[in-house]
Amino acid sequence: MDELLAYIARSLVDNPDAVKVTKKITSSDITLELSVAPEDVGKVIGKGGKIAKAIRLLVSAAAVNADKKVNVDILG
Amino acid sequence: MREAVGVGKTVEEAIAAALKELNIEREQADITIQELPSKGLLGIFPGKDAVVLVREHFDPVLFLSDWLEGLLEKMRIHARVRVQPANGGLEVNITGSNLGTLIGRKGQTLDSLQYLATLAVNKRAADFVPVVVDVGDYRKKRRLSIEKTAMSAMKRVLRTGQKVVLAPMTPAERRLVHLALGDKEGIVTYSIGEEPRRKVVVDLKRD
Repeated sequence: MDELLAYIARSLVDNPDAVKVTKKITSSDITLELSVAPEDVGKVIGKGGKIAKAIRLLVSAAAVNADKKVNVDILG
Repeated sequence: MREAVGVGKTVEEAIAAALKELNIEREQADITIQELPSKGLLGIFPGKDAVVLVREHFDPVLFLSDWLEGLLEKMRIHARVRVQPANGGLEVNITGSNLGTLIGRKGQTLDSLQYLATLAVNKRAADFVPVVVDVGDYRKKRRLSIEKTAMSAMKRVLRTGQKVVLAPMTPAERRLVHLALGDKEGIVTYSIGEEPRRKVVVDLKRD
């Protein structure tokens, strides 16, 4: 899932090398934190969060078999 | 888009240097000459090197196939991807078994995939390229079912004289309703509400 998130983000930004995903696991949740170059933040969030929403939907689809809730946080 | 600046004594040398840096053939490149070389004058003024800008030629079909295959691999979904140019854009069909997760509730995941594919392609393409992604014949079936809904709403409006408000739909789905009923005598269609709960209203045309 973290690889999928990084893959999508890298294809949308101007600075793919600055894309980082960190995974935090608790007993009930997996949280993926996405960070990108400051000038690329808009490219992974989009107008009204439209891009972020699409990214979250795809990551959730990939996580259907995980027994934990998966969150995607975008660090601005 | 990958690009490199090449410098050399001649234009040819400059191009060769940039192609080597990008590791591509000349057929895959768009070349712009930025500076023509000049010889120095009597050894007093130094000569100038040729400078060229070489861009890797962007092939949207190839890019999108690779992008989708990479994406599906990371999602651990085994499927076949076919991308072809159609109607001035690209049409993608993904086929395989158990692709329900890729479609999602009311096609939301599929719409997200299509949206992100459009963004990724158009980040790299010079002109806007619309992208339609379908899984099996999901969109086709959905289109037929929406057209059926539109027709039965129209019949009810004509029979009762009362307007019918359809269920919330995506912009693309609402467009299908408007198209299906656009040429029907005595009927108007318009949309009300805000995304994502915007709905089509079918009503009698009142003069």
